[in-house]
Amino acid sequence: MTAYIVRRLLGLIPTLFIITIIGFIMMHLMPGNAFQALLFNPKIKNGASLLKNLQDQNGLNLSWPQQYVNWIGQMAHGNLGNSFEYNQPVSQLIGEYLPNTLELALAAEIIILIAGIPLGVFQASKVNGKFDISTSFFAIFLFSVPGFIFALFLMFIFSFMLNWLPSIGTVTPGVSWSGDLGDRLSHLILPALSLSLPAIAGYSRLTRGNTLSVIVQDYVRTARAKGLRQNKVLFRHVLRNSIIPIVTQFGFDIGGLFSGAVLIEEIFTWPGMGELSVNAVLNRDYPLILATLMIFAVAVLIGNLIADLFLAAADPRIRYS
Amino acid sequence: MKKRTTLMSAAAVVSLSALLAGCSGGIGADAAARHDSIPNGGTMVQTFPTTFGTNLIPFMDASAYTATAVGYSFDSILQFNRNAVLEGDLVDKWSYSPDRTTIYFWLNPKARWSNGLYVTSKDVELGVDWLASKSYNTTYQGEYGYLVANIKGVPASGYLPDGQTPSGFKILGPREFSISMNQPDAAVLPSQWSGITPLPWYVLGNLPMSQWKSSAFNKMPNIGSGPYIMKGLVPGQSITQVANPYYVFGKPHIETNIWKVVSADVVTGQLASGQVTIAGIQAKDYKKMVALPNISVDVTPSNGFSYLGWRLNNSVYGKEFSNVKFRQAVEYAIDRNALVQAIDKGFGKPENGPLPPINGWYNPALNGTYAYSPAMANKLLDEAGFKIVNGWRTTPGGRPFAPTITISSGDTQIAVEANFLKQYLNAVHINVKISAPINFNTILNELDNDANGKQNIQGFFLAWSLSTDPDPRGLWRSTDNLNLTTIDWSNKKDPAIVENDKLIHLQHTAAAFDYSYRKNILDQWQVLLNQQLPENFLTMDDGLTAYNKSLHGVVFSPYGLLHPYEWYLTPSN
Repeated sequence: MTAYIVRRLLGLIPTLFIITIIGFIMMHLMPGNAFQALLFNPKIKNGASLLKNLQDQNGLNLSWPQQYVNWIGQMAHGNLGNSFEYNQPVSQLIGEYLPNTLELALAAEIIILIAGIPLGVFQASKVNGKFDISTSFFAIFLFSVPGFIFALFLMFIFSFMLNWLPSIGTVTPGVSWSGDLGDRLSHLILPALSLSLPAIAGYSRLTRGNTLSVIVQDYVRTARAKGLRQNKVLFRHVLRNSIIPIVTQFGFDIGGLFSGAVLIEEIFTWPGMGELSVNAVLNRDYPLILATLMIFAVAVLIGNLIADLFLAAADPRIRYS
Repeated sequence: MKKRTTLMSAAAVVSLSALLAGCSGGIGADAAARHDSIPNGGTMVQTFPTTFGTNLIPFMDASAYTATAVGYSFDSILQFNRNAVLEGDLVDKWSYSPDRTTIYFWLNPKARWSNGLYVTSKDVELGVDWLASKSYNTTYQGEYGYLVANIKGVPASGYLPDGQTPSGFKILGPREFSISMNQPDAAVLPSQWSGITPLPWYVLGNLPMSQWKSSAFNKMPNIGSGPYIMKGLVPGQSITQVANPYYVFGKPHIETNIWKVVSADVVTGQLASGQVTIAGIQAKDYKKMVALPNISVDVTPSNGFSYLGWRLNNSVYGKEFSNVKFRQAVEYAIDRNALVQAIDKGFGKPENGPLPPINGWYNPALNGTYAYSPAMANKLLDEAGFKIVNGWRTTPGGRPFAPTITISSGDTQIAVEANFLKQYLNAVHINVKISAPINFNTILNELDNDANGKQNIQGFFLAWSLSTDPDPRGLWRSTDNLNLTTIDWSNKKDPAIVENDKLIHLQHTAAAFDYSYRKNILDQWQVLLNQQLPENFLTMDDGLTAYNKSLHGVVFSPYGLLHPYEWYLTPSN
């Protein structure tokens, strides 16, 4: 297994290499650059020479291949470059924004798994009953509504009307308890719920379908015949066998949550990678675009790897070597 | 230049006679007594619509939001009041030499850093050196290097070696200094030198400027000269500032000021729930906000305007756009009063020239020009040879005339307003089409790389935000880069262009120190541009600011919200 993991990790390198080349070309095909707006600032009297200086200093006067080679060279030394827009090292920006996205994605995933999977199992165990029909309807409703609608709705109810929860940022500024665990959790609840509600529905439907196909198997009937309690049958015998496609989906979602959080981060002013990457693209902040692209790519690739490993853990018949 | 909907900033009514005489700053005994009787304490929350940069030494960061927060922590030597008159700040007296090439400055006796130490000429010198330094103008983009560009001794490159003081800056005493220029220039003080910001020499003076960025002071400047001093920062989220006990105009009443990044999508809800104290809102939200029991809304004109530009060198229709009768016809064809009503919900005015009506230098003779008249538009287009064939006009050469208007993405209101423009132009048989919205940077790129006129852009809908002083240099001279966007000033034989450059020169010469003279020159220049219409002037929008009724004393102006040290909070109802 270890050799497999190492081989998969090494296999990421050429994939990432190709992704950066494609990203680099696409980035340069976008019209404009980060400094061009200076030309159109009425206050700057020498905009043309300032623009040229800045382009020269940041290597934008070099050919694309030369710029790419320089960037790879920097990367090899652990230097992600300097953001044109923020005028800070890119690594510092990533260090500030990435933990927020991880926090949000992790919280959302936990909510999704805790709520989505048991809901699907119970629906399947009472298939076509009142519980199944009512919660299925509700799940389809959740699945049909985009997360940002939930975001605005939750914000309106719990922050603006009831004033129970904060609606922006990750901490409360200017107070003594700023950044405490409780403070951070209170800020996390609404964005994590907004991100997870549509996915809860998706996971519950997926779990329900898989459970239904497993629940009629002979070994389940045998387990029941042995007198095992319903919950034990469901969660020990049924779920273990129906969860395989779900853990695969979970692995894929790790990368998806990164990029899917862009709108939620925008609405809740959650300073994460989504906001950072959108700003980078809009401002033609090349070093930051490449760095965020790398992060997203790594997240997706690692997510796939995790999915494969989960699969092996869930299904003893699957072994990697 | 900026996107259509982000108008904010400034106008100028600079009384040059007052400048020449110098004036006194500070607050009088009555004002001081009033200041003392106002309740103190509390926390106010202001907003930025998007994230800010985290370089907190003045002028280092490119973010306008960072500059706003830093502006609360570091005062400049002079400031503009609500009437756009230049008045004292850290400097409270100034006077010109007889030949008007040198200005003498005296620091306000109450000007101190937040730790109680006095602001000195050495601090001002460091502020000048910083803006004139190679480090600032290369490594840190140098966006504000223009503030010191006219000081004698600053080379054409715009910068000196780090730590070298321009020869035109002289320390005359601990609290007195002078700045010289090569030629008398009436606009230098209001448009440039007033923004010079002293920096604490005893903190930064011995640190090489190339290392300022990585310094602890840059990350959290716990000393400042402005009303609020930095206390905390959460990247991408908030900046917390506390009242400066030694502020030159007295300690601010409100103890804590917080800048929060709040998406424009939810800012009205934040205001309504009391989580934000004061923020700008859009015209469409006015009725909703003003109906709330805890919210007041202020409406103040802004010193900017929207316009419709035409690429006069466009390879397809450049010749047609270059015909002044076409542009005049467009101005007649668009009902700008109706645009104000429909788009700005009545909060604005038609724009008639290169300065908006709120600006003190605006020429009122322009009022009422180009009143909506499709008949006049049709007459001008007929005279210019744009014939109507099958309901649409053709070029004078007989080709179909179907120009496009480029708009930027990101704001649905831009598209709505562009559609209004389309309807008006269609009504006079111009088959104009609106292009799909494109990214603002893409528009800039196409405008900047269109020497041969073959880029896609033909017409474009954008907006200007103007500086406090009306000095047109940097924007309207034939040699200015910005003319690439609007007018073909390369045609030096055009008498209108010659006249334009001459008037722009005259408005800052020695004679222009006389207010009447400069006003007269700028009046002539505005009439010239009103006649030539290098771009079609559209509307000046008002700025709408919603604020909690517990907040008092806010000084609203076309330049933004002034004098935060005068603001105070009372218990909410």
